[in-house]
Amino acid sequence: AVTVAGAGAAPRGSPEASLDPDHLYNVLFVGDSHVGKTSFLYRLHADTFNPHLTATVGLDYQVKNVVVDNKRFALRLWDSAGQERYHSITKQFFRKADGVVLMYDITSEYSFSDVRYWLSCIQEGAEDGVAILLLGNKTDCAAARQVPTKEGERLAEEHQLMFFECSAASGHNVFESMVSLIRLLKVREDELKNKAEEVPKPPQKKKGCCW
Amino acid sequence: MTCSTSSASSLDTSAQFQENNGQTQSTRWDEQQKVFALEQVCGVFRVDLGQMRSLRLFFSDEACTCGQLVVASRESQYKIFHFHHGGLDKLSEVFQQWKYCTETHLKDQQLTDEKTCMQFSIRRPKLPSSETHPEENTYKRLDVSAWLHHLNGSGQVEEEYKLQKAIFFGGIDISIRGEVWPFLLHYYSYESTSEEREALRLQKRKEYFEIQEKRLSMTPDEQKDFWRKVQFTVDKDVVRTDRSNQFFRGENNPNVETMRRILLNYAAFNPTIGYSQGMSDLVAPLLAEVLDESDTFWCFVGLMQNTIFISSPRDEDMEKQLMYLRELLRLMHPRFYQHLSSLGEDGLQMLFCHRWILLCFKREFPEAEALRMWEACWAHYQTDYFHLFICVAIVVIYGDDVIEQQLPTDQMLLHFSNLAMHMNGELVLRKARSLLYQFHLLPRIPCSLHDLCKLCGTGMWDSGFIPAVECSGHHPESESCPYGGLAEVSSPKPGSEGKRGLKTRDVFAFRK
Repeated sequence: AVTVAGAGAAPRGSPEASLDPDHLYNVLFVGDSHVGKTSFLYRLHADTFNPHLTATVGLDYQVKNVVVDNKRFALRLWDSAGQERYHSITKQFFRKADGVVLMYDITSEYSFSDVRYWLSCIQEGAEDGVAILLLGNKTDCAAARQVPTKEGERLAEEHQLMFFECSAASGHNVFESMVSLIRLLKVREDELKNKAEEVPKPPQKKKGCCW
Repeated sequence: MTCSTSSASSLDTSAQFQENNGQTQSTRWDEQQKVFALEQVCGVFRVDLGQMRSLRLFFSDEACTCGQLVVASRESQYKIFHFHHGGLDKLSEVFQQWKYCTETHLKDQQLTDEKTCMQFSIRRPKLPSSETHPEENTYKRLDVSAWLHHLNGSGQVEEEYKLQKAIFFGGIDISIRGEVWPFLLHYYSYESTSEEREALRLQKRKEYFEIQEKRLSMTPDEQKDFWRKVQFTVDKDVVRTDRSNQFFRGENNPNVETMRRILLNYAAFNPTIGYSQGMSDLVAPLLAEVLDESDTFWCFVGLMQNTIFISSPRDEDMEKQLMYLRELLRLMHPRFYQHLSSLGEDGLQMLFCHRWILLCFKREFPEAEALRMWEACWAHYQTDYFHLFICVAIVVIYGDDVIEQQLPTDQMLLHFSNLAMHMNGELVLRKARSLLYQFHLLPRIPCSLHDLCKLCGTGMWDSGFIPAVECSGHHPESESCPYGGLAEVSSPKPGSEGKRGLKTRDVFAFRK
């Protein structure tokens, strides 16, 4: 069937999508299944909570346009399936990611202990300068909390990650954490640019062993 | 541009239109929620033009900027959009340029310069008869009487090939799905008599409850491990699987609990596969048709064993599927393949079709259409890989924009995921059948596709005609083509003599 939606492959989301962004980042969402990656993205996009989202199978993709500090940012958000199925794909995306959002569920100790596993995946697959945001989701379920905020903070400090607790259900810290990630991504990008500008200065030896 | 809407219909049009607050029965409601929420944010609405008949513009001013847009469905329900402050002219321009609309001239249309009305009809993708399988339309849906016709006096399926062919082309009537699926899923054998099947059911039911018993009597340690690896995920997945289906709808629906038990018992029965996400999507329709818990379980076991594309989504299985699909595209839709190649490795990964393969189109088409595809695949008619022909069909029918606009990998994923639940499943199936037919006629095939019909008995060249095998040249493990293909281009890369290196033309023996 011909549909309005399908005909032009119009990017999902706001009309701003057609505007040229100043900066464009690939952000990959990882973490155990059921920690709320898809719900978080749904909140980010539609600003509501949908408790009936089905388990992600394969890889989903959205584009989100945000204006931060008077600059237009386009985020390419890649939502991965929490359960390992087709590992080589996720690996491939680690390599391309400018940022990774690593999510756990504060009501599930297991999801938190798996953070280390995911970190090792990132370390193995992603570029060195990748910006990592650690997110403890589901703060609305305070009564069921199993992972104290301190634990999350400690882990983030240990691995030098940006850290937030949030709730896709209530909206708490959803936008705030993304804005912080965007600023961090911008800083990293600027650093890289500066590096790139500095590099050509020393005489270029192709087989130099000085570094 | 201001625009307000009003309905003019004897029936409730909100059921036909997807608007901010509308509802459609066909779309799965979680997908729908996603769409609605997006639309609220963006202030847009959508109408599925595939369900509509025409678009008409009525101008109320001389400049032709104000008036009404009337969208008419095939059931003659109308939706009217009023343009009080201009903009209708812009809309007419859009429609005039849009390839999915054709301007049709009304009878008695005024010949004067003054335009008062424009009409557009919706162009639906169609398959010219030259592009359909010659045996298309020769089979009706398999209904009770046709089904009984396939059985002999003791209840054995007389000619399994005929049955499979009938199902491949016509599908199975909903009323007897629960009865026929167990055959397709290798729970019942085609040779079994009705009596034998009854005995098997009893025996299998006993076995099933033994599996469950064993699961429930795990040691605390085992239990903990099982909870972590399986149960935790199953518990969360079953409550969000197919809940819009009447069979699973509502709070505390006992069928959800049954689905849960089947999945847990399956994981206990087959710990190496265990549970992987997506299985609930596959078991739910089985339960809704087969109904009996134990029977559904064994059908599911058969499904997991006999359908390669979902049974073990390990990297190498998926790689194999993708390799076949790439080769099929190269052969049958070179323009699209060329586009993929131009994108390099990322393009050739074909991210957009992973879910198609993993869930066998369950999330791409409304359930009724998806289940038709399942049946067509399960029929194993001429190939075990019919699902890949369906993938090619989708790309052939809906992939033109990808090529024309040279969409990069991520946009391609977006393009196809936006099409989910908006494609015409019937058309795709017909195209897929015709693609299989065309493949069948090829005088030569690349050796990479040699195994495409290996597991299904005589395979697709059962008429005695055997195509020549052409070596496409990538055999890292062997020096010569293991399928005896004759290299056309460069010789394959040299390497150590692999396991398959000794096989030669005699692989074809099974076809003779």
